[in-house]
Amino acid sequence: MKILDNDDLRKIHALSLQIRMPVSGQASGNRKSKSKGSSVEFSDFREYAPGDDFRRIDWNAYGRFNKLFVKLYMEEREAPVQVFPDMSMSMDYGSPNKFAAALRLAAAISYVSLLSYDSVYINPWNEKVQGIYGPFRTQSSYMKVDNLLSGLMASGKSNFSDALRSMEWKAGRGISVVITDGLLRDGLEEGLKYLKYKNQDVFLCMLLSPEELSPPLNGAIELVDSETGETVEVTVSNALLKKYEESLKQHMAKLQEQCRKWGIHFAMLSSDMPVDLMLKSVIT
Amino acid sequence: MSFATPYGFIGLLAVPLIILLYILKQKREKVTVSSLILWSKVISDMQASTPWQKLQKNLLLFLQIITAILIVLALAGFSLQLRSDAGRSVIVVIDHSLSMSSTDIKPSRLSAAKKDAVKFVDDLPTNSHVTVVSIGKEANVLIYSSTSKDEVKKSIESIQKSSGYVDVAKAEELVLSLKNQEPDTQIVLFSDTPYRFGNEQVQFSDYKKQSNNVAVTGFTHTITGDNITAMSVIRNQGSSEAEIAVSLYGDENFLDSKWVTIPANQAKTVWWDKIPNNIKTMRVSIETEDILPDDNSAYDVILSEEAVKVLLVTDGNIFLEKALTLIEGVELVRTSPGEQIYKGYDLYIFDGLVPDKLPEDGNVAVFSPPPNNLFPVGGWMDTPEVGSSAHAIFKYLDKLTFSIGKTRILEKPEWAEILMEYNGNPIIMEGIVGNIRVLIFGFDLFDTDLPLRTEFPILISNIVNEYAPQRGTVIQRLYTGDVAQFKLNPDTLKAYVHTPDGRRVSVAPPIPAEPFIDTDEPGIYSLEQVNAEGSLNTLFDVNIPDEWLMEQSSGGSTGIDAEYKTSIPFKNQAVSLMLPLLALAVAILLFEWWYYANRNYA
Repeated sequence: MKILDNDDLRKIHALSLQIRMPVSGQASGNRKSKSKGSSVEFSDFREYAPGDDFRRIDWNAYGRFNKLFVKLYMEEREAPVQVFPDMSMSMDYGSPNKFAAALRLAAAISYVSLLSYDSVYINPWNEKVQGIYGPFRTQSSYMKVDNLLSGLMASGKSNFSDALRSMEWKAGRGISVVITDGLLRDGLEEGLKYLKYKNQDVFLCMLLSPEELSPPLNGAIELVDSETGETVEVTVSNALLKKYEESLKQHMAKLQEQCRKWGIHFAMLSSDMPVDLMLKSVIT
Repeated sequence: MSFATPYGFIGLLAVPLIILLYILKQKREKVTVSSLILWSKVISDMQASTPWQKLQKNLLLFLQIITAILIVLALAGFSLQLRSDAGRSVIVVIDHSLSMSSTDIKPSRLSAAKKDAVKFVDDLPTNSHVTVVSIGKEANVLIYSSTSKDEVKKSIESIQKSSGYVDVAKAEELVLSLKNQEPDTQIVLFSDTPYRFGNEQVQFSDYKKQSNNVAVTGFTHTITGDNITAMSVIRNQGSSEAEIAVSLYGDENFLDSKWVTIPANQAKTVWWDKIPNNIKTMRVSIETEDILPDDNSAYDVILSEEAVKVLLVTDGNIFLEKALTLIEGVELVRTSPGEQIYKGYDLYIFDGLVPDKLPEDGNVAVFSPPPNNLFPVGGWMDTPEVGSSAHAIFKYLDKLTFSIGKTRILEKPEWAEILMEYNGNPIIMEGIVGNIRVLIFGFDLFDTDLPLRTEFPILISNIVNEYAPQRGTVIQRLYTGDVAQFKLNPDTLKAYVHTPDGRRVSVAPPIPAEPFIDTDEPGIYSLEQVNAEGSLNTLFDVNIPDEWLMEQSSGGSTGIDAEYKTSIPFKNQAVSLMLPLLALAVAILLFEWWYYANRNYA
């Protein structure tokens, strides 16, 4: 079963990720790279030094200044897009299911990234990164991405920081899209900081189900944590629900404020949003 | 604090049940959520691993326990005694009048009242100030503002039954004056009648269970030829018809008996005819038992009507002479001034002279005295209209006024008292010289319009009754508790009173006799006057007054009239808190509901 049907793909076809900073990558892509190279787009001059490719000496400048200058060009490179879908048990919740929504969003991001000739890595994680899939470089490889994603199952607890540290990193800049519900005991903020440290342009997609935004609970119940199995007895009243919603809002506001500080794109999503709307929310 | 239905406390078992419900873990539906992170922030109650959970500070639990206790208190009929406040000041008024001897409450109303009063005092806070007042014919303070409960209880125990009825005016005056000294004082009345004391609020403990009492309320006689006819009045104070046997005794020997039927709350006159005139005393008694035996007998003394010998010494006073001859039983002898020795009369009336030596065997009245050696007499002075005074000679003459043209200027001797004066000058004086009572009128009857007044014969009759010794000894009818003032014969050396219970009480010397106050016992008393030649006995009777008449005369002073609403029955002092308790319980339940709907777990 495909994660995104043709209808969805058509809707997101035109969308492309908006990124502010150059990234590093190996294959030539549609992004401006900091590596000055043999691209067509002029970037700067600098004095010739032995070892430089003398084909790049600007003879007109030599004629004018009697000094040797080499022309520098901005090399256009592909942006490695790292997609981090949270596959912990807490994501397998809600109606529509958060994990399904997360996979759809991951697929959509992969799709638009591949459309922009960016290489895509899929890094599903819970306590640790459960495999680095990719790079996927061509549009045709989207099908692989789709297949990969549809094979994923939610499991385990989530700890983003530990997951990132256990991951093998390739040097260079890139885009990291983290898709999670943000309901982590710890490690999320640390993980985000780590990504920034790794020169990533980070997009944090907070994905919650409608049941989490406004719990349809009432009366005396025992709440069970889907990840840890912990239970809490509670008698739910309107006042308590109000308090919960306030607490959720506070939690989100705190996270958003920190993202703003660190220059992380923050998007608040609900699992009942259509995938194109989710994507728009992320990239605009 | 009291509980009408202590069985209601069984409901207290609900309290441990409520606590049990709270410590029993509630079985809850399991709901899986993605994460408890947010919930943990807003929920403080955590689970425990046993079927019991730790009793937490739960407002709802306490509210429910309080509600349960309130409902239990309401069921138990919780009530508060209003007299439980600390350190109060109380006037305990105990009625020891005759009616309190009634036995409708065993052993008697008074005993029950005393017992309750002692208990009341016991229940008072320790530092309470208690004044004990007994009310009867007299109102007495037995102990004033005492904080010693033992002393107070002793004084209550010391109250004895009396034969008189409550003098409401005296009782009210005394209680109000005590109340005025301490305005915060509470008046507690133990009586069978809800007396009122001004408009003060009175805590009243009632001791009247029944009123089926029949009393002899009047007994008198008249001598008709050789026989005596007696009249007795029997009053049924009860609320149902009474059929009773009434007997007449002469000198304590049975004479006659009758069955009498008296409707409720009415009096009936019973006549006794053809009583031999050789008896000296009579007693009429109700033979049927009732709740108050003390008023079932009445006594009467048959006085021998001996003639009073009066000597009028005058140059001619037609007014005096005429007035004296009109009085029944007076043997009048008229003489002119000039005799040296006056002897053999009960009363000497000197008109326009004072003898050098006063008679020794009779009292003396003087009109228009000339200068003499007994008291200083001056010239004449003009006097306008004068009125009567309160003295016995003005008995029944309250409204008498008369004009005097001129009167002697007199100087009051030490032995005399002024009965009437004008501008400091005595007009009428009275006193005792030796054993002789002397009455002096400063004016000549011819200088006044007094003889023309219709009251003149009454005045003269009063003078004879008051100053003729055997008439003055014991004339008035005495009621229990009355003070008897004897006018002893001038030759009396000693005098005693023999009471019905066989005691002999000395009343003289000194002469004049001291007032005799020991008249609590109804019956026949005897006054024994001892002179040089022997002794003379005079009988007099003391009866119980008519309670009904007393109540009528005290008109409206008891709480029977509708306006008196301040009296609170003592035994109903407890204020039931059932309704406030239930209202509070409902309020707490409403608050609990509101709190439950809006509770906050943060």
